[in-house]
Amino acid sequence: MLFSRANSLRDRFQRQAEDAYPSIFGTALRLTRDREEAEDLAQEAIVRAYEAFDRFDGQNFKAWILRILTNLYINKYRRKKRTGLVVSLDDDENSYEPTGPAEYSPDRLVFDEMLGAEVEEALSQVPDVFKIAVILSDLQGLSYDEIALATDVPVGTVRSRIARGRAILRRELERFALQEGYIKQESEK
Amino acid sequence: MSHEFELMHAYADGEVSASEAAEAKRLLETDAQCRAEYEWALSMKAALADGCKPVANEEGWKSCVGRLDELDRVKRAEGFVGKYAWALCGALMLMIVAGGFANRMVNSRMVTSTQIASVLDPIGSGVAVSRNPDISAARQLNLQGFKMTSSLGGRLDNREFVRFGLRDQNGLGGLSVVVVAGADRVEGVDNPTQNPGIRKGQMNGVNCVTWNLGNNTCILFGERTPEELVALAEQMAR
Repeated sequence: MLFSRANSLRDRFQRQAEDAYPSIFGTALRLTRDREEAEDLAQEAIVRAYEAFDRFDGQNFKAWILRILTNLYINKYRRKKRTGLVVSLDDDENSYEPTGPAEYSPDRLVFDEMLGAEVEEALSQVPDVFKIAVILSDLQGLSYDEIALATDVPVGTVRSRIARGRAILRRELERFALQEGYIKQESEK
Repeated sequence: MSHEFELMHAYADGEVSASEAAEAKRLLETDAQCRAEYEWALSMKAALADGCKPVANEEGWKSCVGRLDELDRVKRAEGFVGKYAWALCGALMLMIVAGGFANRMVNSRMVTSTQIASVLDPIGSGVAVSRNPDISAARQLNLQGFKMTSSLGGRLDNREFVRFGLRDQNGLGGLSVVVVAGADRVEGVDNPTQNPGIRKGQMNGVNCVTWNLGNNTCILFGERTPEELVALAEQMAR
């Protein structure tokens, strides 16, 4: 009886974790930028989640486990790789530049031509605090409330980080687009 | 403007209240910069959705399952130990008690070197002694040809004993024979001799031999070689 209950808990967890694993690993990979570290991080998040599964409210498993993963990354991996996060926090988080100039709207076709690798590379250049918010929102589809819970900041800060993160991402993508000749400098137009 | 720009991103994400949605719509109609920002937000979202796909990693998942299996095994083992801890403790206690009892049984018929020392110096050790010993075991000793120079008896940890000082047929003294009732061996006197019933050894630097007589054990001390002591013991045991 006891074993069957334990087995059913394990089955339920494993089913949900397996479904969420590509998102978990993908997020870990984009945060750490190292396959081995990403595997370790993802595995640790899964182990922690399994140990706490009896306290899971049953609502949104992916959001819950991504919250665990994000916290692990922030607490553990940040200590190892202080660079991105510390710099971005020192760099006034609330100062804001618009994503694009008013005089032209983005040509979506330009970005459509970009390869996944280029987008991934551009994303990797975004400092951690903004990148985490953008990944959780745009790649994992978490709500602002869920991101606020995952990163332990107010919703207003999440909103600001997402906007700022996308602005930095756009700059990076434009730099790539210039390099590859998808777009031309203003002076060349 | 940062509030308006952030509002445009939140609006693109569908993360605005009703009043904010109304404000966002008004800005989109009236403000070119806000409209551009909104378009950029949608564009970035699309670029990310198209460019960054979920990452499959079969091996990574398998190693996760391995870790979960390992966790389950540990949990099961801990659960078993937790559940049956009282039984395990009980079994351990029983083993300790049984071990102690067995040890006591095995060693209960052994005379220790400390006890022998008490017999050789009964006054100093505080052993209860009697000058007129009377134990049946002493009568089984064949002391013909020996001259008794002293006799002493008493109780040694609930076991009767008797000790005789002797001279041999040649009138040489320095012999003591001790008979301890209810014992079958002497600690530290365990070397074989030519007679399988007699063991030899040393106590307090003095040669001695020991043999059993009925339900008792006898120890013969003396300033003699072990072979001489064995011969004397054989004579007494006859």
